Amino acid sequence: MNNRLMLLFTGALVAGAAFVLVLFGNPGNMGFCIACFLRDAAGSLGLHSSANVQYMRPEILGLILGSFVISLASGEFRPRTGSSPVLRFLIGAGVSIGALVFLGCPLRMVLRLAAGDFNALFGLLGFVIGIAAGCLVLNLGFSLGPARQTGRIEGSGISILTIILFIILIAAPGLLRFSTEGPGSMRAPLFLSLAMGLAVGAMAQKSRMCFAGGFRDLFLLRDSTLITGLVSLFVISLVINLVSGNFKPGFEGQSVAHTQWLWNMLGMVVVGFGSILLGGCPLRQLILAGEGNSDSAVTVLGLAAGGAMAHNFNLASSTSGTTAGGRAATVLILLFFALVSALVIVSRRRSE
Amino acid sequence: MDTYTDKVVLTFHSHYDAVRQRRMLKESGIESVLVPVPRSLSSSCGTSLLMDAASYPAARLIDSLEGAYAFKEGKWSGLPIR
Repeated sequence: MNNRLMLLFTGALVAGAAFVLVLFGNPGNMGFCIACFLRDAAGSLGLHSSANVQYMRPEILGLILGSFVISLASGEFRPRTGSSPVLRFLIGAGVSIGALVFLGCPLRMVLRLAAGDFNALFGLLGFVIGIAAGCLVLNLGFSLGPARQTGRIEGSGISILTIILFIILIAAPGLLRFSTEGPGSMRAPLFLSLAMGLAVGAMAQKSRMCFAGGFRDLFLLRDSTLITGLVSLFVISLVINLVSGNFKPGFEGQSVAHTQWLWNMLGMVVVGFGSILLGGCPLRQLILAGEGNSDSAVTVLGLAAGGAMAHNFNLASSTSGTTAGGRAATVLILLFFALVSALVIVSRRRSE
Repeated sequence: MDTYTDKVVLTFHSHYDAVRQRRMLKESGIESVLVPVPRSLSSSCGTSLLMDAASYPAARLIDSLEGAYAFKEGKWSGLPIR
């Protein structure tokens, strides 16, 4: 199938899945938020103690497994490792904190936009600025270094972990924490969530769907193929919201959102910039992890750890707004990204 | 399908390597264009470089080139990297 068509279809699938999942219980305009759900999963493992955001989200497990299964079946499972894992972990954690200051990963940002949440417009602006900054450093020579081939066991590590977590979720849920109120308590039926995750994971592997990559290709290569996925998700979600009466334009009273425009913007600058340094948005990291990319698997662990830190240190925003810690962290993470970029570029120039 | 006839696709470890390779080719008068890695070639999503197959054998290549591929008889095949 044509690439663009595949991306159109994947965007539509994500839109449909998000609508169905919210209809059956997931939090509003969330459907599939990668940052939020990794944070919930971290909470479920007791890595943070915010009682209202703890649940081992089957969507996340499904996304990784969907990509794992389809890449194995199509001969595209490629175990790779060795591209700055520690930096990736840290950048991943930073991206997660930025997303939780804004209250959503790029995927949820698009869902929020399509539901009329104008706060997400500042998020989009910040996301694009962050991606532009990332493209600038790529052009100056930034790279986290080449990955090399590794063994199939190592490449399957995170996929096997998701299977184990799913078994625990079914057979020994007592080991996990479950929110009884708040967003973590809002959940679609387990197998529906898993099925949607599997379907989207498989399609995202096939189409290479990536929110940050769409803008990157547009900026660096003048190629609009990859951004088709984002546009498709937005348009189809918008239509669904208009038809179902879920489109509520405005700034105030939006589902799991705040109205501090500057921090909505800067939080997503962090996400855009970090995603380009990492080579893909949080969704893409899950998919690459399923394909056997250990560097992305480490990034996913970093995203989850960042989600836990965001709650342990009171950095995550809530509907009442950002926190002082969250604002400070946003600025510090941006400085960290800029510093890492500069140091990598300088050391590369020296070795040339 | 994102396949090309009479073209060679060069793949890299980083976007910057692709930019360097394009510059190097341009210095020897060979035109090339930055494109996303063709989906039919790989599920990875980096930057690749597209050049005329006829220019490939004599082209100067950067040391850190990852791979070179041509689409022949319905499939991608790797080319020797000098």
